[in-house]
Amino acid sequence: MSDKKIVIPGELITDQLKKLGSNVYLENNKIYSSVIGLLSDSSNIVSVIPLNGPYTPLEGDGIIAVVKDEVLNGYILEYNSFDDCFLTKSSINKELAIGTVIFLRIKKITDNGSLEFDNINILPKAKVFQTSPVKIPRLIGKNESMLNLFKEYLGGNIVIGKNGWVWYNSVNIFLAERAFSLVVKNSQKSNLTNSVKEFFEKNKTK
Amino acid sequence: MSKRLDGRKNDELRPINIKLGVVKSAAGSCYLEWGKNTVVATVHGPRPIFPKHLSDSTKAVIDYRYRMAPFSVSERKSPVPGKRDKEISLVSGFALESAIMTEKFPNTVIDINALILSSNAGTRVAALTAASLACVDAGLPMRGILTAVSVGRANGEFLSDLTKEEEDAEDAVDTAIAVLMPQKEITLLQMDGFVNKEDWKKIISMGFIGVDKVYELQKKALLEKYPVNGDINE
Repeated sequence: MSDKKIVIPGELITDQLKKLGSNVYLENNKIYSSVIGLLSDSSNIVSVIPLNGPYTPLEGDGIIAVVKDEVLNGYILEYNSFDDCFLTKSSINKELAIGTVIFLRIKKITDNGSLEFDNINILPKAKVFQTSPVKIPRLIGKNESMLNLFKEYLGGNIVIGKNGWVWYNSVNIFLAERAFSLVVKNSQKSNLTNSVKEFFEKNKTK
Repeated sequence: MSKRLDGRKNDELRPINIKLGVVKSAAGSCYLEWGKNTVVATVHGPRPIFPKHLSDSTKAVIDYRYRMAPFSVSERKSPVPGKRDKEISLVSGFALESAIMTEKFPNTVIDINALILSSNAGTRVAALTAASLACVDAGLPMRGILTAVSVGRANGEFLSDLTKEEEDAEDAVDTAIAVLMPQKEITLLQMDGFVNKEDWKKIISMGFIGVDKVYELQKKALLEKYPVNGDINE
């Protein structure tokens, strides 16, 4: 609705002193936006939800990664971030082929920036939808409403990684891809869940 | 005030047309038409840098490449990057580094390519304007947006956004200014020709008026890509 406001880099958000959220910076006691995104300005904290951008790992995030290379003591994983990460062979009891899709949870980020994982699951061969990590909150929806909608209409399993990759093995992969890109393309608009439901109803009858 | 060859006023810019997100494989991209200049700018990365010894553990390295297509000028230009290409790439890269928060991506490189498809004076400012928009489109954290414009003097008149014909005048002064908006910090300043102090002050103040106009167009193009209201469709 009209209460959504898009800010661009360098745009003045407020000259009051508030807690700095994500994607804002302080200069001369004024708060500016550092990315293009949706402004979320509450009484004590101000932040900007970006509309695009790379994934920055956070502790506790569940991510989907693809094995890119194998080295002597582990695997190099690609996960839609600005750097690749490393998974030791001792942490899994199975050999991985290059191209295997795995789900991992980031346990800890060490001081030098490398990642430690727990909850490692090897996913069966299926499709991976690649998008930007900033679209993930809309793909899940409030109280997982969007995710439940996908599961209801598409069938099969869907695993959404916080890094912007979605693993899915639904029956109708073309419809799934269309639905995902519909959400991604209109992620800055309101009332998205109802529109996606309409989209499914329209395409179901055909 | 006499009119110019193409009928513009002295402080009038050529028509600018901006479109974002034209290259699907890039993280961010921008297509820009500025009079007879045409630029496509793309951003790839941040990604790990190879060879490793080029990396900087405190910030990302910016690899800006300004290149002219062989068919962009009337006489075929060799695609081998010359002295001019390399110099413009270097100084424009420094200008972009002041806008992008490179300290957030240590040990990486951000590739920014600006390809000139068609040229008619002022391509470096067009390329830099497009490149900074492509960086915003890629979602890179930035302090502001880089806005560039060329100003100068030809035949005794002070002009903004000179064309090729005006640049070839006898007393021509051609200045490229890039400004970080909205802070209004100069990040790039290059000049050809001879000028005295009074004239220089006029040229600089004209440049700041010019970047204001370009900045408005940049803002409009950015907001156009993400409409908040409107129908939801594929």
